[in-house]
Amino acid sequence: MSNRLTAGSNAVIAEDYSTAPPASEWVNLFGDALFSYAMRYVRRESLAEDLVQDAFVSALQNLSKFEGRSAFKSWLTGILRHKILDYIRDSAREKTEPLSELGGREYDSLFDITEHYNAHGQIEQWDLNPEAAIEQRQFVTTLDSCLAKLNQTMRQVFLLREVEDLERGEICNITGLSPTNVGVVLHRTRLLLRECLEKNWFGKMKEAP
Amino acid sequence: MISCKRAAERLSQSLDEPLTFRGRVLLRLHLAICSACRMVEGHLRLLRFGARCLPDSENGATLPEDARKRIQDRLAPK
Repeated sequence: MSNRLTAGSNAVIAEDYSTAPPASEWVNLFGDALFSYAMRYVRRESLAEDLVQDAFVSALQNLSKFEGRSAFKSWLTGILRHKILDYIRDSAREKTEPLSELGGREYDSLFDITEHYNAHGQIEQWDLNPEAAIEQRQFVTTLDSCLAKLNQTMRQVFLLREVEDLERGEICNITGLSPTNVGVVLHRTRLLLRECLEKNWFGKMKEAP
Repeated sequence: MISCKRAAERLSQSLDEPLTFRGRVLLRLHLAICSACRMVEGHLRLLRFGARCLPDSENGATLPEDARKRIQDRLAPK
């Protein structure tokens, strides 16, 4: 009787993954989610696959450190996140892009010679009803595809700031950019994403009946 | 009066660090008379909200089959 009770409650815990599911299930349960996460940072599939594999293997080696304080999926994502940050840190040493290549031309083209928006009169309020789940999902999906079109450094800096919630100083350490340049890149990226969302999300929503 | 371009820079900066007093005043003065920049201010807030939702959105990227097999073999060798 008591045995059955224990088994039953364990099964419930396994379902919300506050205990780790067996490693043979990991790829099926979390493979796509981790792959999506990695693909946002590195657009190359083979690289994203390697990062996901490293994260899984390191999770298996460190399984004894999983304490069930967070959901298992969050714990896994945390490991992947470290792998991604390490990768960005290592690859930053190899490249030095001039600031002008980081969206400079596209950004400047948003403004006229007097530094007003070219589309000054047409900028409207965006109504996103926080209750409307579908609308929200469309917004986030469009943001995702807008991000995918950006230069890699711009995309990574934006994600480090807005998704990982890192401070400017930490972003400098990871990317090798100066504090000023992190500010410039963040700013250009936000404005270009705004433009992209206006065209591809707000504009289409307005057209729809 | 600062331009929209300067106002946009300050709007973005204010999302990352507190502006100086002067910076804040210049931005508020501009926003008071420029409806386009007031809209952009709202857009940037929504952009931040959307970005925070990204990790929960899988967006169709699926781990390719050969990688699944490879990783599966590492995790649970048969």
